Amino acid sequence: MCYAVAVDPFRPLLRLLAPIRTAAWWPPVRAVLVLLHLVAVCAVACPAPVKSVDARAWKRPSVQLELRRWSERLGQVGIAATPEELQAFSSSVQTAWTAQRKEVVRPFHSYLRRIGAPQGWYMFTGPDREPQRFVLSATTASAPGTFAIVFELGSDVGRDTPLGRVFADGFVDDHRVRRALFQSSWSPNDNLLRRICRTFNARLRDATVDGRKSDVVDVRCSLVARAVEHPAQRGGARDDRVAREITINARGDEIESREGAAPTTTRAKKKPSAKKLKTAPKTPEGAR
Amino acid sequence: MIGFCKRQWQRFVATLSTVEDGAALALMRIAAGFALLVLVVPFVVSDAGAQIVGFVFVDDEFGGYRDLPGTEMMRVFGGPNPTTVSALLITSLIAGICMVLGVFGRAPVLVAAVATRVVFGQNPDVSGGGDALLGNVLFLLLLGDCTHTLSLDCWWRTRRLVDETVIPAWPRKLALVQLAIMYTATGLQKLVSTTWTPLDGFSALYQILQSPQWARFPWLIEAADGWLVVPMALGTLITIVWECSFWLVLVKRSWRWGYAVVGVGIHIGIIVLMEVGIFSWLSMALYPAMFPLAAAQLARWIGAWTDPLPSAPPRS
Repeated sequence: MCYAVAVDPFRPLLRLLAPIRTAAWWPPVRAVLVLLHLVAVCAVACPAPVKSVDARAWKRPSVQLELRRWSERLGQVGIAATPEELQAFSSSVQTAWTAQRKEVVRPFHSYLRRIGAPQGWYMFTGPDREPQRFVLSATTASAPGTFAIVFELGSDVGRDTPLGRVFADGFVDDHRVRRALFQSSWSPNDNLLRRICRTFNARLRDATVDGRKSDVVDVRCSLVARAVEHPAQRGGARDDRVAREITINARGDEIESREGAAPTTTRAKKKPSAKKLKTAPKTPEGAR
Repeated sequence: MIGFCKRQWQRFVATLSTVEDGAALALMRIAAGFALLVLVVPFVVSDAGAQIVGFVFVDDEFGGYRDLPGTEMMRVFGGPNPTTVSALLITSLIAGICMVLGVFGRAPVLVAAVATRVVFGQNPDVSGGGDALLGNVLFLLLLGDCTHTLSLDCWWRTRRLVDETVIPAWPRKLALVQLAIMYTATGLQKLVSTTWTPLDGFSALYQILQSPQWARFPWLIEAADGWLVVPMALGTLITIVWECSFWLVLVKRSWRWGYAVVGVGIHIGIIVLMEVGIFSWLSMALYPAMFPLAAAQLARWIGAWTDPLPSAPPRS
């Protein structure tokens, strides 16, 4: 017995349940339980909108472009619907559907949550046509008034600066950190970006650069939008646009917040890298 | 009609009552244990990992980026503070090692399921398909005797690494159905976007791989100067057809190898080109569920290879 518990703590329990597992009624009962589990899994995993899209998300270029494309395609098969009409239709159907679905799947959802087997398989449903990349920049006591990039998501810019090296250090490449930054770009308000910015602000101020405490003054967090290249429209101009930006001072107070402007941050001078094959920037060097 | 339903039900009950070699479930356990280690080890052993944990899994009171009220279970364990989170991650790491080695039966699977759920489930902002799949895989492993063979438990019990006696097959079958549901659901969900269809020239991967959030090399597409248009369109076509039709592995057993080969190719592509955590590793951890006979053959081969181990009378 002691041996059994040491090797497999489940074994005594399974031995206790052995009479049940050999009973004639067990196979059909087990089949019912498995069937109920499968019904729950199928009901919750069934592709469907799981939550209503908020007003800000409807305005995103990815969503608007998708609506335009569906409008064009439907027009080609004789169904006339403007993108606005499609949006209104989709929004109303989605709202009604989401409410109904929520009621239907509630018990299944609750069961699956309790057993720790969620079924949300919404992965890369559609590309973000205008992804917003997170850019962290800062002014320092040695270079006051000039925001230099410390870190830019999906780029090496800023990483070869002393502060950038200390800040990034394997931390920002993790998919969970990326996910948090991604969420801030889709968030209906600025709260998430503000929180991330405050945390990064503290991180930058606590950093030790070349054996000394960093001399960061103001910290700026920007979400810079840029359309992705579509295979049918290669080589077209794709300018950067600041979707949201927050600037925080040494005390952690927000001193500036803006939306929808051209970037003003200065890129730190960067050595050419063999790995980085980026073509010439679309905006003049130093204008970002 | 009633007769038909009755026959189908009896067939279903009979399908769930079959027994088989436990090798497929054991391979799933080993692969899931490795995937768990891939997930947890960086958090525990590296400075960068500790910083990530401090940023995303710890309440803002302790340096995290957001207010984490903590799930009920997290509060039981002491709340989302650095000590609790670290302790749970170390526990998960030990459980992962035990899963790979196959010791203490299903207990490490249960421990891993609880610990990872408490840690990774408290911040939905940073939780994705990988965490959902981890929960599912661990739940499925809990249902079967996953250390029956190819485990130190087995060696301790029989003085052999491989035990060819049979176990119930239904947990493995349930894992296969779960895999099919997952792939098919994610494929069908993609059809809402024109980019996964000929309506937009199968341009999804071409565009997704420019996303700074997920792509490892977001500059790659632009730098390739157009020569990736066709390969990416082909990749998009293969991915969507493969995902949407994956349920066919449930009815066409002979097609499983083909689906598995394409699946491994797609997942290797994801691992190389994208940064999405352990989703791909965990997906492939379920692949042995498609091949119980091949798994049994592999186990027999391992058994024959390890047979010269010093034998002793089996303890029961």
